Amino acid sequence: MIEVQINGETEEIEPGTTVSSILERKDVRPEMVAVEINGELVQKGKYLTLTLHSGDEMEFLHYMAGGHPQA
Amino acid sequence: MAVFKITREAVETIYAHAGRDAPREACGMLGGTGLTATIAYPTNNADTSALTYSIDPQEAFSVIKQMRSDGVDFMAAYHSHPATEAYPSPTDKAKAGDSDLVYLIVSLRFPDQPEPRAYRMFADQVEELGIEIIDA
Repeated sequence: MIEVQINGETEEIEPGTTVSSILERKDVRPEMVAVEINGELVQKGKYLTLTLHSGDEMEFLHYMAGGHPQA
Repeated sequence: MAVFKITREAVETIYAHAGRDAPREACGMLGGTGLTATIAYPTNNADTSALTYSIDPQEAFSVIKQMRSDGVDFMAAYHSHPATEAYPSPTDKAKAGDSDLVYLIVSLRFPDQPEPRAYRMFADQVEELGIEIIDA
């Protein structure tokens, strides 16, 4: 197991765990969130293949957007 | 009905931000604990629009780190409706993906009397919360 930070909390994960599998574990739809690892935004196309390493700091948050009724 | 509480200082920050940015929509994030918001963090509207808003994810990540440093949780997001009522539009509902977050909408249709209303939204469901402005 390796230790990473996810949204500020320390978690242990299996080596080779991908961004996508972490989002799935958190019951989060990948298309609804932005992801940052060690301060760098991650392109959505990399969620399935990018793996976390010991000490990585991953953040994710839901997009905040909208518009009024005429939008 | 659950009640969303917000400090007077935080809501005044939002009113000032919304008024300053009108007729464009203003948006930002709120830090606090549980259902009580104590600090407003105005952000830029990346759309620079009177009809839509979005918060740039990099700015949002930066705000979340500031919230941790301030000892508060990210528990709500806000935006203004410069000319319409404080009710979620279909777009607001479609793009609200976080069921844990409170979405505060401030209407400026009567500019001298901003109208704040709070909601939880998820999967096209809308639940309105009561709202109470508190003195910290």
